[in-house]
Amino acid sequence: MIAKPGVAQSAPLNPQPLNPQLDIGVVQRFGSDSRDAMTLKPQPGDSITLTLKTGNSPR
Amino acid sequence: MITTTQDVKVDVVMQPLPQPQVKERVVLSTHRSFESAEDSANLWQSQGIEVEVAQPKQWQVWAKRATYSTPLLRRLLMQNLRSHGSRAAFIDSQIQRQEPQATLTINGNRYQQDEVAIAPKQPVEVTFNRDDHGAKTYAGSLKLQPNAYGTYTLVNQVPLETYLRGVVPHEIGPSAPPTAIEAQAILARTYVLRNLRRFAIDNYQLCASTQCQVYWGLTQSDAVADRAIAATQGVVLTYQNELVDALYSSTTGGVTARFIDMWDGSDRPYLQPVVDSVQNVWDLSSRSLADEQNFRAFIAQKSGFNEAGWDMFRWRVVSPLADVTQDLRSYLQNKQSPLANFTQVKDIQVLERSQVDGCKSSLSLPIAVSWNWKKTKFSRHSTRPTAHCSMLIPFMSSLSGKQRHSLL
Repeated sequence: MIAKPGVAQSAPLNPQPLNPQLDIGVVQRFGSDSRDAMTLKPQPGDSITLTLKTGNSPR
Repeated sequence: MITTTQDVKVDVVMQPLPQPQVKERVVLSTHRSFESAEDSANLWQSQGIEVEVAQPKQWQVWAKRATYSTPLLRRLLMQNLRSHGSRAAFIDSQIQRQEPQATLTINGNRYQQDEVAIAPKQPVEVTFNRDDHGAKTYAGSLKLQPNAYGTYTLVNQVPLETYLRGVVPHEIGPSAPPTAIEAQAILARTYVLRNLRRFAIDNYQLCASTQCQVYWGLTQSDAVADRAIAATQGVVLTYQNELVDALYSSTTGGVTARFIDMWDGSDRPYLQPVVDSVQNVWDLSSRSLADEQNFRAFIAQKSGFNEAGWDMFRWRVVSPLADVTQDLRSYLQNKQSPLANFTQVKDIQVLERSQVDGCKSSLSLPIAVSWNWKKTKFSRHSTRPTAHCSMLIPFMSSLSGKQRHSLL
């Protein structure tokens, strides 16, 4: 819809898709302190699949 | 691909580099907000300089690193800028001898990785040891990726309407009227869609703090907010067929501010000074806050406003001039300003207030080198536009915007 000049109006969101995927930086500077640590905990009974960019060989 | 039902631990190992590396970039300008940085970026671009907006600590406009990729190109650019009178730009050079390397422990094995995609089937709980607010539960998927500052960013990939479930409860209290929560949901939805470019430099869109909108994933999501999000699904605010800058703050001090009174950039006509009261306590048209007497009377009035009684509605801070001197020096040093060598702030005077809301002031600071400040930002705890008119002496650390240099 076209808004009237000078008035902010609520309007249905029109672009595709209606519910787009967002990328939110939830931890922005991990590693700026050498003691930084995170734990990723799956829900009970769930699993996490990790894709490592440079291969899956442990070091 | 590795699948695990166990906790995944991520830490960092400081990896010595084979030889020291010089990390260097041309910083064209430094800002307190993305809005002002973006305005500056547009100005630089109009002068033919390719730029990118970054946020190492404060917001900065960098000469695009991919374009100014060699020490020679960077110095030629600096020479060119200096010859055109630019004093704010500088080369930020750091010698790096080690770098953090992300290390994951999965099923008891350790992996050093720069980039990891993490796909749980159900929401995953993330604990970061420097986050005072505890564990957060995120729907969607996660990605650990390097950023422009030599560290890493954990990115949550999540659908918009699910993201809002992690924003709305933290940006408005659950006891607010349902229609106010619906309005907040519309604002939050509009804000995110308008601001998708903020962290383009690092290949994600928004942060999760007050620099953007507070987002805690599904942690503490609640039914009241969920209902408001569902009731307004897909609804945004527009002005002349564009998404508005849906800026909001926790506290206004009794009156909202124009965009241009807070930040650089073109005005947003839909952001107007409005007295935050349902009791008609103040008529801005007849009692302009640009008038010092009116302004003082407004500040002295403590009842009749929607925020009356709130901690941040009226507040007073007294700072010794020595502290003001130190804070101002730190601020200027961070900007690498040549004015950082002043010796002492001797006094602060308000020279001018904005025409409508009274909260934009030009300040006079008689110091060894003196100048007037324009566009003083008063917000202490929010990056969004707010007119904390109650302050009498601003925090120097909050000073922002353009400085009009003039010897008094």
